[in-house]
Amino acid sequence: MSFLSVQNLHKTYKLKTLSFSSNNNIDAIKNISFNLDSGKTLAIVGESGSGKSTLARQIIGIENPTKGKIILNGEELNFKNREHRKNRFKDIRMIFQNPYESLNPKSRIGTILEEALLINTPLSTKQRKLKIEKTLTRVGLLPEHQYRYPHMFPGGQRQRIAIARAIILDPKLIIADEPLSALDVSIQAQILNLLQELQEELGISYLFISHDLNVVEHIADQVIVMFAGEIVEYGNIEQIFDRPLHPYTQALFASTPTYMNRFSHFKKTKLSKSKFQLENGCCFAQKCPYCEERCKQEHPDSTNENNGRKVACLKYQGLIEVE
Amino acid sequence: MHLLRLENLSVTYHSNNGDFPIIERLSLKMDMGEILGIVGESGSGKSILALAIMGLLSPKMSMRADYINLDGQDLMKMSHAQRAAYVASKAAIIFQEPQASLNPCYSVSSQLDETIILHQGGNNKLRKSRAINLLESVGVTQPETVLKMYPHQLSGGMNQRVAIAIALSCKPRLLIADEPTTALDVTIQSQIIDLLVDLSKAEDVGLMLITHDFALLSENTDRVGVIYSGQLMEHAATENILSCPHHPYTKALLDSIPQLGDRHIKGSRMFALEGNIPAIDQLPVGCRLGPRCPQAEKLCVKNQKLKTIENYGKVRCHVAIAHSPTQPKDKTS
Repeated sequence: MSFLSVQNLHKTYKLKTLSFSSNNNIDAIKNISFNLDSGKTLAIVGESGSGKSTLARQIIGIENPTKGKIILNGEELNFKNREHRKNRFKDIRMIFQNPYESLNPKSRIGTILEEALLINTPLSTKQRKLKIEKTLTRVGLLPEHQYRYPHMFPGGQRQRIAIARAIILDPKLIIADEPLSALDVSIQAQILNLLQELQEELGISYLFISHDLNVVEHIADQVIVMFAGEIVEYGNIEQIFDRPLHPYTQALFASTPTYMNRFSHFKKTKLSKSKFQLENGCCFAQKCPYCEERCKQEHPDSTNENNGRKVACLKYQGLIEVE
Repeated sequence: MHLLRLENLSVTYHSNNGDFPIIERLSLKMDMGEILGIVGESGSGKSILALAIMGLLSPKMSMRADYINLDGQDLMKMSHAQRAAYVASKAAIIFQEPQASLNPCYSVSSQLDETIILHQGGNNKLRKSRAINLLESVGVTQPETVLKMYPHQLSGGMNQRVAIAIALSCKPRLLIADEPTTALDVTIQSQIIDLLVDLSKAEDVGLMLITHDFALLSENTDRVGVIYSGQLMEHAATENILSCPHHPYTKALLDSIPQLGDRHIKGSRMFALEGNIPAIDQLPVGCRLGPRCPQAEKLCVKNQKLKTIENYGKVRCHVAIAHSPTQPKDKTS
């Protein structure tokens, strides 16, 4: 039994337009299913606009999914019941991309951290203070930092504060939405190490959203590759990084700068001429270097390779033979 | 013949609390058609270097230099107006965020036209065909349609292409790209970088690529300069720096990037440089890296000088220079 299980999740946004056009729905994510074991890391990779953050918002409960189930620890999350939501979502916390914007500039660090405890726990003032000091030391800051304001810290330490806010309730799942992309390279390594330390000590699962494949390979156990709201490839880190099957995954690898051009034999994406999605057919067809007529007509279902790996491509088996 | 030669460029920031050095005595050379990478953390002064060359510094900053030689003429000897006209005809700059560097109130055609009028002029028809040519050369597939659009109607990659087209309209000899791909996706990033490198090769334009991503530089540049806290720490050919970096900062930067191929093993940690880059009003004595450096010694409190190591390049670290004749040890990971 896996810790977090997402089944056939859909989210459709209704666009409010002035025109009377009938089709003003946007499918942000379509048919997302995956399982995550406790203490493991699932990375979600994809370009901006592919629905990575929308998926995170459904899981943390900021928005209700249109269709589908989210099962945490064997219990289905009910988005309609407020009391239930409040209790369940203590276990899920979030770290945001930009620590310069995610911390309130007007409140002290102590207040920022205490807020979560005040709302969610029955602890007394003294206990809260102890807990805050303990958490701050845990993320590599000093207890006296709680009396300072966010602007007094450089970016790396601010991200540590954001992490402290996430772990102060002892969550079981942390959703990290591009936690490294606003930081410098030398600071990124510090934060990445801290995240791994916390995972090994506290047994937290991570849902790690990133576009940096180098970082993903370092931290993740499973990888989801998303394109235009759909999962195009899903599998273990070894499966995907050793032998990417979907043309989009291959294009991602080909575009990622590395020292030793390990993936130079893969083709990059084509420049697409039209901006609009095809109604039927593969979501990647317009940019795919291997696109055929068939790809524009049929929608590829995600095929199970072996041991849980999924690829949504009509032609991938043909592509392997070409190699 | 050098395209660009800087000698002892210093930029000072004048604030209410006194003057602070942002860039200190920086010297650089670039050949025609060369691709030079500048790498450093945020706050190290790499963008200020680009602005100083272009003459776009804010009024609160002043700059001094022995000479800045751009394509055969010394910029420091020119008057302000002369300098502006000369730099505009020889060099162009591309900024980080294309959405922010283009004017949202004007269409692509009018923004492109503005620079074309300034540099080539000509009648309407001529200018339009020139604009279409420029857009085609940066890989825009439907230039006529794009010309009529506004920046908000285009994607980030397309906007960056338009910004590059505007930069190319003066037929520059030197193109400065200040973090051109930070705001873009990986797939778009590789397209834009390929485009810049191809343009530089095809028209023999010198390209200065400023970034914080070492992996990006490693694939494309001829030489790399590492800047830390306003000082040039290491300056050498790309393959030299990648195969055996001499300066501890460069080593730390390279070690702290997770590379494709190293998986997470339970309990293993990546190398991380402790601490943060010093603020400009709290610079340490002696070597700027001193308090963070894993190899710091007593001698590091003295001011470090940039010295040449034969068959390698220039390094600002006495430890590295002392060990230079011997082969550097293998990287410990």
